Amino acid sequence: MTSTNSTGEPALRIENLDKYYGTFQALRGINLSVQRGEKIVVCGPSGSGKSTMIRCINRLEQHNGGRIVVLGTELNDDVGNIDEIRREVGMVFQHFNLFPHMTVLENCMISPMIVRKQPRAQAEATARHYLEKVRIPEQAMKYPSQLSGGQQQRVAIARALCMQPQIMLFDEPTSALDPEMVSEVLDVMVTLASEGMTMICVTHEMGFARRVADRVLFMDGGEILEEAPPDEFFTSSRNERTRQFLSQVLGH
Amino acid sequence: MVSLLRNQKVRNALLQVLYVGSIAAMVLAGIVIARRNLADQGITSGFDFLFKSTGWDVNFSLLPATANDPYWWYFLIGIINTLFLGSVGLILATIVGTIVGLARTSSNDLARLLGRTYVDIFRNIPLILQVFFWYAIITHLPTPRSAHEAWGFLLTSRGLYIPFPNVGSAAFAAATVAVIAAIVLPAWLGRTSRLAQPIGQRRAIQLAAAAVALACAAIILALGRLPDTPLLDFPALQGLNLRGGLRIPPEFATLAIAIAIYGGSYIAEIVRGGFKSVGTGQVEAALSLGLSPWRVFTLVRLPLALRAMLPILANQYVWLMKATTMGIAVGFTDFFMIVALTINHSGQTLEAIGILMAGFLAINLSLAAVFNRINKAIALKGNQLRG
Repeated sequence: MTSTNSTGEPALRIENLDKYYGTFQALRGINLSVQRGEKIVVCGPSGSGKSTMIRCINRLEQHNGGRIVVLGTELNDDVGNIDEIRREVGMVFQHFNLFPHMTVLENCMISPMIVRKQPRAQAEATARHYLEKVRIPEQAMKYPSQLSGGQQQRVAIARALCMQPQIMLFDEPTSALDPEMVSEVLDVMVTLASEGMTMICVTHEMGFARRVADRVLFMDGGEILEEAPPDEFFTSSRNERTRQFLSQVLGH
Repeated sequence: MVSLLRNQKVRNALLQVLYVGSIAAMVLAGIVIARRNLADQGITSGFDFLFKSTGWDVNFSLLPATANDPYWWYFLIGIINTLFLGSVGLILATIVGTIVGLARTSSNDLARLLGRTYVDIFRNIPLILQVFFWYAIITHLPTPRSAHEAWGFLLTSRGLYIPFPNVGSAAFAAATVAVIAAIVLPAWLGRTSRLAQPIGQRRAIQLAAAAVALACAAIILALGRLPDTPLLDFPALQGLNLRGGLRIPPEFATLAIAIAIYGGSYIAEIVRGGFKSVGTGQVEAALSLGLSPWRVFTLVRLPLALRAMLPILANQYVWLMKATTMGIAVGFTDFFMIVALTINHSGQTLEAIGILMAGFLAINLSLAAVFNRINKAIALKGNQLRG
C-alpha cells in the first residue's frame, strides 16, 4: 500500500462515506475526488458534517462505511496506513492546538525530528524557513500563549508545513480569531495555495473561496448538496438551501 | 474626645491595639499558669531534659540506638524514621496512584471499573481502620518456620525478610544517595538548560549524568562490600528465628502499605484529573502530525497533565507525611510516637509538643518549598491559557 506517486491517482478519493455518532448519522454517502494541487472550500451551516468529513481524512474520526483513499493509500484499520497518511496530510485547527509547554520553534521541530527522524539542525532549519514564510520568524523562542491568536494560527500552519505534507486540511482556521487577525492568516493560506498545495478548507470566508478555490462544496445534513467552481457557486446556484445559506453569510 | 472616636483611622488603630493586646494577654496568662502548674508538680520546664538519657528503647531505628542515648538523639531517630516511612510511603502511593489513575482514564471498560472500585473502597475507609486491617493481616502470617518463600524473600509474622547486599551500612547509605542523584540530577539538568540546550543534546547530558551517578553507586557498593562474604546475604532459618538478609518489621510494612494504598486512592484521582485537564485539541494536533499514541502520551499528555497535577500533589504529599503519625497505632517509633513516649517518661509535655510541631512544620514546609520551586520551574510560560 505504498503507491503514493501514481500520476492518474487523485490526491484524495472518498466513496460513499458514512459516519455515525451512535444512532445519529453525521455523514451520508459522501463522494469526493480531489486532484493534486486542487483547492477545495467546504461551507455549510454548523452541524452539517463539514468538520467531520475532513477529520475523517486523517482519522481523527473513524468512518463507518465507504472508502477513503489518500495519496493511493486506503484509510482502514491498518495502523501503518494511518501513520503513513498522517505523515503526508497536515491539519490546521480552529483553536490552533499548539503545544503550550513548547516554544514556537519546538512546536515546529518536534514532529519532523521524531516522525521523520530528521537531525536536529535540519529540523530547525526547516522550522525557521516556514516560520519565515508565515512571517513570524522573530517569535521562534516564545511560548504560544505569549502570541496573539493570529500569530498562533500562523505557527500552527508552519508546524503542519514542517512535516512537508502533500495535502493540507484547514478546519475553520479563522473562526476563533479576532476580526482584525483574520486577514493575516488568510494571506498565508493564499500564498500557500498559489504555490500549488493541495488544500481542503472548511471555512466561511467567502472572499477567500472566490479568490482561491477551484471548487466550492456546500454541505448540509451530512450530504454534499452542491459542488461548483466559485463563480458559478456564488452567482447561479441551483440549490435552494445553498442560496439561503449564501444570503445569510453574504447578507451583511 | 467623642469626635476623635468618630474618626475612622483612630477607630481602626484602636481595634488593632485591642486585638493584639488581648491575644498577648491570653498567651501570657497561658505561660504563667502553665509554669505555676508545672512548678506545683515538681517539673522544671526547659530543654535540659534533651541531654538526659532516655532509659527506654525504640523498636525501629536507622541509627544506632540504646537506652543510654539522650533524648535529642531519640528525637533525631524519630524524625529520620518519619522521613524514611514518609518517603517510602509517598513513593509507593505515587506508583499505586499513577497506575490506578491511568486505569481510570483508560478506554478499557474493565480497567476503568477496577480503578473506580479501588478508589471508592480505599478512599472512603478511615486510614486508621486500614492500618489496623493491614497490621492484622501481617501479624497473622505464618511463623518463621513455615514462612512463605519466593526467590529468597520470606514472608512471616515477624516481618518481611529480603536478600540484602553484603555491604557496610555507610557504603549502602552513600550508594542510596548516588542512586537518588541518578534520578534527580537528569531532571534538574533538563530544567536548567531548557532553552539554552536543544532537546537532543539535553538528553545526552541527562543520560551522562545518570550514568555517572549510577557508576558512582556501583563503585561505592563494590568498595564497601564486606570481605569474604557472598554478594547477597539471604535470610535463612536458624533455630526458631530467621537470620541474615534485611528484615522489614511488620509495623513498618503495615504503615508503608496503608499509606501506599490509602494515599494511592487520592493520588489516583489527582492523576485522573490531571489527564482530563489536557485538552483534546493538543492530542488531536499531535496525532495529526503523525506522532504515535505513545509519543503523544510522553510528549504532550504527560507533560501537560503533570503541570496540572503538581500543586495538588504537593498538598497530598504534605497530608500523607502527617499520616505517618499513625505509627503510634501499631507501635512504630516515628517522630510522633517518640514524642508521646518522651512525654510519658519525662513529663516535659509542652517542650516535647513544641519540638514535635516545629519538626513537622520544618518537614512539611521544606516539602512544600521544593514543590513550589518545581512548580514554578515548569509552569507554562505566558498568560497560562491553554490554546
